[in-house]
Amino acid sequence: MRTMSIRLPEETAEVLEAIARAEDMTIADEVRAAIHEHIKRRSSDKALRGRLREQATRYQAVVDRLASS
Amino acid sequence: MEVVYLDVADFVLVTSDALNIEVDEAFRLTALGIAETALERPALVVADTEVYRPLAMKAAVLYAALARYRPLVGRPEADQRVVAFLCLVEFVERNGMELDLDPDLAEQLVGVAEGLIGDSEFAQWLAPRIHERTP
Repeated sequence: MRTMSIRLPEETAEVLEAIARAEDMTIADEVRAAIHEHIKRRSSDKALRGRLREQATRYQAVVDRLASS
Repeated sequence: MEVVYLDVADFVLVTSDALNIEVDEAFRLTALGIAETALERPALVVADTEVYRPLAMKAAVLYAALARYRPLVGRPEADQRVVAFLCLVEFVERNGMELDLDPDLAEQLVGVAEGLIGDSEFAQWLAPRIHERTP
């Protein structure tokens, strides 16, 4: 587990503290869960996933060269 | 046109596809603070002025930051470079542009990652190779 600090607007920090208190979680847990949830939502974006895979295929020669660098 | 930047979720998804690992595993590998710092670099504003412009310069600093800061914990340099490059590609395309598949591209990317080529020099090399996407 790595430690990091983040800067948040005052209002956002207050909301986050309130949610963490209500759910009996630490703010760190709340932030981790929020980031993970955001990633899960984005991962269901089929257009994005398709485009990322297509890019990896289109630039395969460059990727192979970097992978052996 | 307003520039659209990548965030940590994009980075994790690029990593998942590039390294052929599950999204949860890519998330676990990602040093979130380091990734955030690198992903935010192209959007840096000082005294109300964007530091990095135009798009080629933003793309150059994005790749350089990801390749040099190495946000993937425990992964080799090569993986960091592959993911950084594919983030560059997605950043360019998300902003309506496309990067030419130049035969010297890989050498440029390695040079930047190793600190042999500076961000500005790389941006100058990139600029004529980024053009509007053809439908």
